[in-house]
Amino acid sequence: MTPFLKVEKLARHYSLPSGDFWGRRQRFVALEEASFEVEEGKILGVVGESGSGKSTLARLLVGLEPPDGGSIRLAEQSVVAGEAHPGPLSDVQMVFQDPFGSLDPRMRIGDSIAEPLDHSGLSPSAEERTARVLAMLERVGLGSGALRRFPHQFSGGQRQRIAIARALITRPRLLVADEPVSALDVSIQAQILNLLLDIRAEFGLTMVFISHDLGIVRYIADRVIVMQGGRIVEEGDTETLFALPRHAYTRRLLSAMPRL
Amino acid sequence: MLEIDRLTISFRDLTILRGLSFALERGETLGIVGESGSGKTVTALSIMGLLPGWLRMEGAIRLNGRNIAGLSEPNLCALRGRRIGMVFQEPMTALNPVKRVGDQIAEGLVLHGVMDRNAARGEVVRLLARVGLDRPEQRARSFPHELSGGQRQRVMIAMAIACRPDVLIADEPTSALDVTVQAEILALLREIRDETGMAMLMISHDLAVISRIADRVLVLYGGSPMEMGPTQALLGAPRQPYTQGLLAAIPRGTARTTRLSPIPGQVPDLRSLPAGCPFANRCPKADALCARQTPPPDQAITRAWCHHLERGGAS
Repeated sequence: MTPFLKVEKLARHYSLPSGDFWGRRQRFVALEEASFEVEEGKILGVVGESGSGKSTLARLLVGLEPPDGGSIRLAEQSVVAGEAHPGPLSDVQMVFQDPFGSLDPRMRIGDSIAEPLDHSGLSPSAEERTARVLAMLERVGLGSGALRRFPHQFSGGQRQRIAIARALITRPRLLVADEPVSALDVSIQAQILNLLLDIRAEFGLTMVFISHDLGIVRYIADRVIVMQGGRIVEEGDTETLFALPRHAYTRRLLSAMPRL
Repeated sequence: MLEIDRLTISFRDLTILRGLSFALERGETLGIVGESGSGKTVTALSIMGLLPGWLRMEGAIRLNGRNIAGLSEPNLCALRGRRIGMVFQEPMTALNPVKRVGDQIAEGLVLHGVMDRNAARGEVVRLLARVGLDRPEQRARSFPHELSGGQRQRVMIAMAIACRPDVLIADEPTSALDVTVQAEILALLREIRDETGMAMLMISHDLAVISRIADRVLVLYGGSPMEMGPTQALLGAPRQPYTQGLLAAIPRGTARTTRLSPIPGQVPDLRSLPAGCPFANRCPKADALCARQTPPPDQAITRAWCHHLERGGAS
């Protein structure tokens, strides 16, 4: 079986603003030849500390940035370095960490959620658009009352629900979630994790779940990749990786993890 | 050593902290956990005398028997950094960006008259070495932006312990750090506490972090205490419904075997809290009494504030 998402030797580097004495630009390698696969309907957890390249990987997967090397194949679509970029892949959506920064403060919730639909080329009728937004609001546990309100009227957890509704409105097949619960209070985190798991089952979603919190990744992910300094240092089935970490860095991470 | 007695903080008719009391012994660490709006940071700020003037404070804060609540600014200055040390969450904003870190650490020592400028220079190097920075002589000449997040937090700790305070207040000291660095900083705080015998107040939203360092834990919600007791007992057998809910909401194991049981509802806005127990509108056990009347504390292994505690063998 061909995997649903296949990432091969994906690379991304940035040139640093100041050159050396001769004016040569230094290169910062944010992601170095990352290769992995995800089966349809599975959740891949990505763990690593700051600067490990997790967020760069997320941005490449959703097409916010072009890769400098390698390729991303998602079902029948592909992004290959050097070739003309097909633009953001329609089957991929993203949920960001900060629910305060990721919603337009001056846009009503209904319009925020419908926005990806308006740009997707699906161009539904006005009634259908509203119906889909309402159904999605309902699905993430918010009532129709939210439709005409603004982001500041909602708490962090509710905003993250809105962000999830917005991401799912175009019926994506891959959801990339970059630290989706890190900014939330503990009692709210569990609500959002349950929502993500339910939605995965319902929509048959495949997910890339990025987090620095090992406990959460262990809970939600089927497979895990561990990143350090732009490289994947270990990959494996979640239970195996947590029980028998092979790479020294993974072991260090696990032993540093505060447990209850 | 430090005693908080019925501390209440309010803004006009909005009560931010509702009569909090606790005591801290020498060498002991109390962990305060709570979600946003629970009142944990405002508690820390009031002890340090850093509350903004428009907040009204009632109750007493006693340090070695002396009430320091409502002291004048010059008197507070003599305490802050001298008797009470502080470590904040974000070391980049807490440090002065245009001053060498060595000078920042020495400032407190000289200002409080602990030693003169020359002696302070040597002490700074000793402190930087103590908090685990290599090449401390050179580090003293660094500016904050030249250090990593973990190194900056080490500098903050050096600064906080420079005058050998009686109490160290650490407000989310590791929340902005990576896990491996977090573990190192927690270990460092533990070592220094054991070495100096200072009392420590550790504030965090993360129960797992608290469990690594605190002897006792205080759980706050909506400005009120929910449960307080020895760390092992409170985490192992929580008695209060909010504490129970908080522990059940933390992922342990995997989604294939267990489903999380979140606390329903939202973290409340202080303006819309019930008059009685603040947790009443999210609590599975709540009834009309809870919404009306603040529950009295019930002392068993832990002290719990709830009208509907299960009566076990102990109490």
